[in-house]
Amino acid sequence: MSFSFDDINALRYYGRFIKAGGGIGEVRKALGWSTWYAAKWWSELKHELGIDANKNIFGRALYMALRARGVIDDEGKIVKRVERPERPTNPYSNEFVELHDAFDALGAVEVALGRVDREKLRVLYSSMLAQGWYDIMRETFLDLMKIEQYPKIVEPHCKEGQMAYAVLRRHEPDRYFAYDPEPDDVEAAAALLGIAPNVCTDKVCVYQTSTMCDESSAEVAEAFAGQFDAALVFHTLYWMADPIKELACLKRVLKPGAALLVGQQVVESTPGLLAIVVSFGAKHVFKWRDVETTLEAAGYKREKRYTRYSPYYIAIWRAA
Amino acid sequence: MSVTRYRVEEGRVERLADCEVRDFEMFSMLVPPTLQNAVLDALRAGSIPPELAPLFKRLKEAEVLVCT
Repeated sequence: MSFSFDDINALRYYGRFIKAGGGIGEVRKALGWSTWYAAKWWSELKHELGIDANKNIFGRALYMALRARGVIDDEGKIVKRVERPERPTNPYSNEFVELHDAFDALGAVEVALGRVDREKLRVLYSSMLAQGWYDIMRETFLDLMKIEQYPKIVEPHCKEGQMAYAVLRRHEPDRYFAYDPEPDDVEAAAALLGIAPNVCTDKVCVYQTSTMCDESSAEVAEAFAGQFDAALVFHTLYWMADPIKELACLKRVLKPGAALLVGQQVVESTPGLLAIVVSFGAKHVFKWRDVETTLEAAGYKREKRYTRYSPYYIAIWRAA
Repeated sequence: MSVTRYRVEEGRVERLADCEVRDFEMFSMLVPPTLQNAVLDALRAGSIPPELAPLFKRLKEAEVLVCT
């Protein structure tokens, strides 16, 4: 078994997640399934849609991820056969594959053509966020980021509030401000945290706004907490309509030198999972270098990069 | 919850009304098998652990789960 530089860093910094997944061998099997499914879905798209296969974001995610691995060439032709891996027996690694099985049952072409009901995709997205492997991924990230050291935290695109819940389960911050554009997600997040949505009078606030560039939203955040010590951006960069603009606006509510805690799936990580999340409504697909140029352009400075892409991009940046 | 700080109550559970899976085909398709067991356990117990609350909300919205 060979190890890349990123594999070694993943073992060093992300050991809890890998142990829970049954060790590197089992995790590799699970990641292998993600690549195998991505190649399967891409073949189906090419067969049904031809040259239009990557004209939708789901197809584009598959194209970029498989291209990065040398599975397909520039024209999208499969040039490297992806063997169907052995099924992992570890329950968490197997759960990860089960997510791909469930998505596969919806039909890749149907998803690409927008023929799958939004409600079905929402149920599957919610399922993913509730799965055990995802919970351990969140927890390991919070361990690594030492989240307990930050008294005032802001979380853009908080979705259904699972990350906020994970933070508040282990830490008692002075202020936690989570926001999201979707009223339905804000309602779900507030319910999970046991608070009323859009009421920013206690220690935790879940607020509906499409962007922190909106002056009134920034005022609500500032009135609630003053300036924040950290922003938590965990697999949410690709949900932002304009990531550079959003992060630059976010900086205005952060203390100078505040931490930007970043975890982001990239095309080099898990091809099938990336395509699945994009089909749920994420707006962008990043290479790991794209993540860094985006953060630099938004006015942040990298403090420490833990991993580039395995199991995903993890780093701490500072508001410069 | 203390006066000065907030922390979610880990043991907090939401009581369930009389709920049943109405559309088993959709349930089997959209909820991966391991998670199905957790959902069915919650239905049997009559309470939803907080971690599963958003999923229950989505299942009800999609009318996969019906509560009376």
